[in-house]
Amino acid sequence: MDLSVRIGKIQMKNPVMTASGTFGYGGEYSEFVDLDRLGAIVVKGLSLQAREGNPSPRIWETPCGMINSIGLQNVGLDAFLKEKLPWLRRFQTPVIANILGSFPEEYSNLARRLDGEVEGIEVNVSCPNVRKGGILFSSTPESLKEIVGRVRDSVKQSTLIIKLSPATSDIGQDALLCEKEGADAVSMINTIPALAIDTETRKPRLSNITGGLSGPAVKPIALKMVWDSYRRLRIPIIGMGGITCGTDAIEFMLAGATAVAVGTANFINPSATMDIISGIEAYASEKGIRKITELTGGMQCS
Amino acid sequence: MSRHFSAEITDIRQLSREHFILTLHRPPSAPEPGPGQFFLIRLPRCGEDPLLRRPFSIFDWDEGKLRFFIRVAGKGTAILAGSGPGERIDLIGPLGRGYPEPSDGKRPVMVSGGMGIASLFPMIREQGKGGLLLYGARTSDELHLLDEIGATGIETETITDDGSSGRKGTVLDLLHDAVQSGKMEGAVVYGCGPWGMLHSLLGFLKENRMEGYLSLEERMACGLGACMGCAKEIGGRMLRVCLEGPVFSVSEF
Ligand SMILES: Cc1cc2nc3c(=O)[nH]c(=O)nc-3n(C[C@H](O)[C@H](O)[C@H](O)COP(=O)(O)OP(=O)(O)OC[C@H]3O[C@@H](n4cnc5c(N)ncnc54)[C@H](O)[C@@H]3O)c2cc1C
Ligand SMILES: Cc1cc2nc3c(=O)[nH]c(=O)nc-3n(C[C@H](O)[C@H](O)[C@H](O)COP(=O)(O)O)c2cc1C
Ligand code: FES
Repeated sequence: MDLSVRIGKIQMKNPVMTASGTFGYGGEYSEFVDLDRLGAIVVKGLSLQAREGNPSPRIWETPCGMINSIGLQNVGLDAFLKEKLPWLRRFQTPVIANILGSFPEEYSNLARRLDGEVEGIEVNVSCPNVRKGGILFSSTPESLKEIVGRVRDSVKQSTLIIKLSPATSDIGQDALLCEKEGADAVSMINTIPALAIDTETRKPRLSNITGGLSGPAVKPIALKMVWDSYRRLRIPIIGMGGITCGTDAIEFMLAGATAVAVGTANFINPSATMDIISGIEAYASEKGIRKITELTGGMQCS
Repeated sequence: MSRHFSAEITDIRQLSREHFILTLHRPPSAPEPGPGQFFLIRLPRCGEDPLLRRPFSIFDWDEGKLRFFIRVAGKGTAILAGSGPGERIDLIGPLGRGYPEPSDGKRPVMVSGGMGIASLFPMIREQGKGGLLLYGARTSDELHLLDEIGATGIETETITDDGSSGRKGTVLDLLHDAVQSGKMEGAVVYGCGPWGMLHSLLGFLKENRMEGYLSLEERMACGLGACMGCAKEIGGRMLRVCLEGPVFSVSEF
């Protein structure tokens, strides 16, 4: 049975990777996860300078999900390259760096400096554009196009992945735009903008007021977005949103994903990624599937 | 040894309508915790709702068991209170940085408000006789576990918000008195309780330039330092309560 998949130039031994922001820089989970067994490791979103993020409280639990407003706290590019990446290099697993910025130039600088240092660069476009009054880069086709164009020009060796926001009228259109601008792959979905209020105090549950919803609650929405995009794309999709077990991952592949990422589930079960890989294996052997890539887009509508 | 293991519930002892002691069989593979550390417990029988694990300080342990002292505060703790012997639950831990031992010759003074006793009890047990416990609660009914505390031989003073047992006031009042009577000479303070109390305690310790360690709470997801969900502003930096804490030195603030 062949579980391997390919995302751009990245050859993965299986389709399971970690979702940015839920797996730290890898080391945090090394005691529970065989990092060599993962398809790829995606690290916490990096900015040029270290960021302290939002004040507390930053998380709130909802039915089958959670809302977070971490505010992209991270060690910054230099510390990542000096301290985190060398450690990750002890493993055979491809490393994908997730990047974020406040200005278009921050994205291109990050992309240029990471190019060739990591196998993949995943661009988080759900970030406020400081120069445009904080409106998200992903929220208009023009600004999305500008970011993708800039990182495309900066990335020559690594695989370029654009991570799309579900807060859009047509994610398939956004994905197509990324493909036209030369992205090697898209990943979806980032968290869904969300709010929770304490009715006793009438205050928001999060210091940042709003946050992003993740976990099993978002899975049906994420699946539909993967399906909508798959039908229009040639480049591969990395699907995520609420995956907790092998069959969840299979669902994403049937909807059109080539690979999948596991996020919130890591918090519930620290070895979730391992269990999901085993679950995919078990499904494939039970169904007599020889190549896992056969599943991609394999939903039978009639 | 693995910090992710499953353990069988051997006993749930109700102390009041809201408070109970959860005793688990400690499997040989479960590492030894230290005072002030905590575990993330996955709620039994709930699948994906409630989704997140719940953090609880280790209250007491030996080779064969782990004990937690828990107050029903919402959905998750109510589910735990309703579980029974024979059920298995899934834990991650011990986690975080606990209380450091007092340096040579220093007298450990434990300052506990309400449920703070859950986290401080291992210090009380280990430091016992030479130490001092200042123990406050809302009412006398909530001054739990006085027998177990008494058995350690520690000198104990209690106080309640409503004066239903002993003095009326807060642990800060007890602390001021302890200073007056010279009991705080060469003391190192370990504090745990509601944030309002810890905040006053922090002010007191800073003002008097005293060594102290405070255990904080914050909502958590991973418990491993990966998600940044539990970060709190401490000394101008966002520190993770699950990894850099839950116990912080006064000098860090
Ligand atoms: C390090 C640490 C040690 C703790 N030790 C103990 C202990 O020994 N005994 C005890 O009774 N309680 C302890 N708590 C508090 C305990 O974790 C909460 O009371 C519990 O999570 C509430 O869950 P719930 O589902 O009943 O409440 P809900 O209000 O329904 O919980 C909703 C969400 O908020 C979180 N939450 C609610 N209150 C708290 C809180 N005070 N701290 C952190 N997260 C919270 C929950 O974990 C959950 O994710 C500790 C908390 C921390 C951070
Ligand atoms: C605590 C937390 C932090 C996250 N941080 C990032 C991040 O830095 N960059 C990013 O692109 N996505 C981030 N995400 C989004 C996840 O990578 C993922 O897209 C989303 O959570 C959906 O997957 P899930 O339901 O499996 O968690 C974060 C999610 C969570 C829960
Ligand atoms: S709970 Fe995730 S970093 Fe502390």
